[in-house]
Amino acid sequence: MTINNLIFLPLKREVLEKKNYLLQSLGLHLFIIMLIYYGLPNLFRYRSEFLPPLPVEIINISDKTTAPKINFKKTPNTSKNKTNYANQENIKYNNQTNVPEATETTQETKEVVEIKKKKIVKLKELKKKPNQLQSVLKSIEQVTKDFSDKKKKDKEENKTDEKVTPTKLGINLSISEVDAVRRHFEKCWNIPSGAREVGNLATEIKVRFNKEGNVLDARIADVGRMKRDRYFRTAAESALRAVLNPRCKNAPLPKDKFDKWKNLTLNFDPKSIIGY
Amino acid sequence: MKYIKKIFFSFLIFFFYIVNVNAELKIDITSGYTEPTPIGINDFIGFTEEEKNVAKQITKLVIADLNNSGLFTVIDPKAYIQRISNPNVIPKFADWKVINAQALIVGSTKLETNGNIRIEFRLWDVFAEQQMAGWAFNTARSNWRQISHRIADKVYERLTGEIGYFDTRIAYIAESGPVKKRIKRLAIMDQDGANHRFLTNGTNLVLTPRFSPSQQELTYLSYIGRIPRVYLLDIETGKQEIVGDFPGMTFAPRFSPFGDQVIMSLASEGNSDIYSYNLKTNIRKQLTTYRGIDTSPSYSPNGKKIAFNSDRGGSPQIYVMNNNGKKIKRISFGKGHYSTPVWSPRGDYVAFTKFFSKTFYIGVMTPEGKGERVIAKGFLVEGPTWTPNGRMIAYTKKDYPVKNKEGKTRIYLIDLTGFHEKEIITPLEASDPSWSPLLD
Amino acid sequence: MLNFKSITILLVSVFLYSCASKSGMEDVSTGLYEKGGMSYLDKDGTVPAKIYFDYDSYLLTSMAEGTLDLQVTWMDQNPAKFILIEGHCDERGTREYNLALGERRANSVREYLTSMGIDESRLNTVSYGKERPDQEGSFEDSWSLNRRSVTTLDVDR
Repeated sequence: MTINNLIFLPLKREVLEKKNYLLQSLGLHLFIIMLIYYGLPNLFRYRSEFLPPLPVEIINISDKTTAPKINFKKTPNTSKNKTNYANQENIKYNNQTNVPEATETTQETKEVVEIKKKKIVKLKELKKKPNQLQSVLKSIEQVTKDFSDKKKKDKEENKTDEKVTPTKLGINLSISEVDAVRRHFEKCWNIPSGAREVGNLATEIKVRFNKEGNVLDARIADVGRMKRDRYFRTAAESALRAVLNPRCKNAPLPKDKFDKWKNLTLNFDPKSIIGY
Repeated sequence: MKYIKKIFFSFLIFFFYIVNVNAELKIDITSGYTEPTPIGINDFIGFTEEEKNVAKQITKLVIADLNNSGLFTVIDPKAYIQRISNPNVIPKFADWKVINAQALIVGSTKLETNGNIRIEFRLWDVFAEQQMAGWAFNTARSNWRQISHRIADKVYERLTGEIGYFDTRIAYIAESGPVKKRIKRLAIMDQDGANHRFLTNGTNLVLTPRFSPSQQELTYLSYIGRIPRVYLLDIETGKQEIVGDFPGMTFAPRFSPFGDQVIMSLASEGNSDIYSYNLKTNIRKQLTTYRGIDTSPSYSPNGKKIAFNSDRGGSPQIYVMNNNGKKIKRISFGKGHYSTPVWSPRGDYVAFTKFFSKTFYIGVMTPEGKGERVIAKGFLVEGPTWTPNGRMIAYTKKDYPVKNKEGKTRIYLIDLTGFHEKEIITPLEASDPSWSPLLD
Repeated sequence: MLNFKSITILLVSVFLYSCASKSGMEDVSTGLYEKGGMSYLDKDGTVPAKIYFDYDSYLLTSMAEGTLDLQVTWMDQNPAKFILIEGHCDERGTREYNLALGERRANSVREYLTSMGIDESRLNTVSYGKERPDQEGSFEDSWSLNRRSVTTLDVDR
């Protein structure tokens, strides 16, 4: 029985046994530090809506939903990940095949699905000749019932060319609520037609709302470009007018989630409409 | 280890969640509608009786210009709630918002003692409640028409980003008489139909007039002496002169973008080729040699390329070549016959006439031949000409026959997007329009 | 009965006749004899002046060649006459392209005539594109009669 055996070996043994606990302790300390770093107050506010560990977006379908009627049924790819449960959901919500899919998949597959969706939409846009209602650039060869359509002020019709915007993980506005806001401002946006380089005329408008959904303050984000680019200025001003239009008062935003949308960025992008 | 993994995962998830929660919500708006922008134009203000009269005329002209562009709709003054009589006050925006005026023009006119007129006006953004721009013009009173067009230009430019085109003229062929013995005269007018006058008396058949870049001259085809040849006409003096001394029929003339050359077709022994003719040096240059039909040449705005119509491929199609006749490339590949290519002053499109399946079309495509779009169609539509901002196209349109009577021939105007087709009113029937360039 | 009325009528008809032949506008198809709705080079009405073409074509049909053979004979018999050959199109084409096509049609006739021995220097061509149709009406029956070449006397020589 040397001093080595008596002191160091038992110590070593103890340390090895306690390695687990050491690591755990380190982990928890890191955890606390990160928490503090990223803002403690938020923690308290969201405590009541703490998400379960799996990063699943809970899609709330309410009456106001107007999800894009893109018919994903035609593409077999996206249904690869569906289970029977999803199929049942399909029957319930006819045109919203993309919605039930999301509830089934994990984070990675969800991204894959969304990328595929975007690709499909893009493909449809290329194949389809511009729909007279959407596209400001008319090509009268395909649409023979042009002149009657022109008279109709149809904003509610099938917008099959619409881009699907995946909302960020963790934001708690439901897809239908986002859609309602989108519809709300779409009806006030008079898009400037026929401009050059319409590919990159997307304008971000930063908006501050009050509780009733009225605009307190709105401004164009990229002020520098306003001065340089005439066409951008025209597009940006049309977007700002859409936001400030008195006909678009009382945006349909959920009052109980006011904190989430009191500062909002609206990105007006004419690309999918004026595409050529 | 399992315990650690669990903690690690939870921590990771939590971490992502918190990070995202702090990012601001962004919503994409990707659709809307397209309609003429409703605007309000308060009657231009004058203080004396005479000033009020001039102001009224100016207001009327500005309203007509902006309405005719198809991009604006001026709200009927009867609907206005506020009547502004002081040009320097801030408008009551609420009154204009209610009638959905998205922009507002407020102006004033003042007659100066030296016979000049001074016009000031402001353009207000109604929803944003601020002034967008303000201008002042000072000119001889007799120029009031031109100034009104300039005012419409400024408003148009500020709101659309495009260059205005209202201070321009249209040259065209006025037609009258029976179909078998048609009388054709050269005519010219302001783009809104004012100041119309005939430039020839109809004795000789005249066709296809085109403006020079300086707006001072026209080049066209005339059958003086029963020999069809290209001529130049000085618009002010009315003097005509033959272009070049060619051994045969010359036709289809156009000016080069700098005004120094006239490009045209020369036909002899059944073959027509494209020639350029230098007005200063009188030197002519043959640009195509194909034995067949090469005609309707049109320069690109920088003068480097020429688009033209040729049947070298077996049917009438559109080709592009360098201005020295080299590197000829076909650009039309759709079904049908393509002719009358006209390069846009913006350089981004070539307009053309297409004939397919018993119907005529006016269309546009890029100079590389991509993105073909037809924007007008009819029993007989042909001969597009661009407004100098490359935004609208005027063309000849003949109606379908009605009860064995041939349809009327008139000039129409349409926007590049294919909307807002409207007739340009002329005293007689009309064809072969040519829109003047802008004066710098 | 030389009363006032008949003199007036006589004078008026003389005026109108002279006006008709000197309208001040360039005249097409001059010096031809009209009989039974057709135009002839000779006053007996045996040499038709017009031949017709298919759509967008400048090739001579065999019927056209037959007519041109008759014209050649007539020209040989009238060696002092100068000839103007007009080329015309229907309205189903653009203005400038039709001017070029009319020129091609006139040239087809000219080449045929010279190949049959007519002296080149007697022949001139002019194209009127679609500007001077023979038949009014926006349908094929008229159009087929407008796609033509007319052999006339050249009044300027």
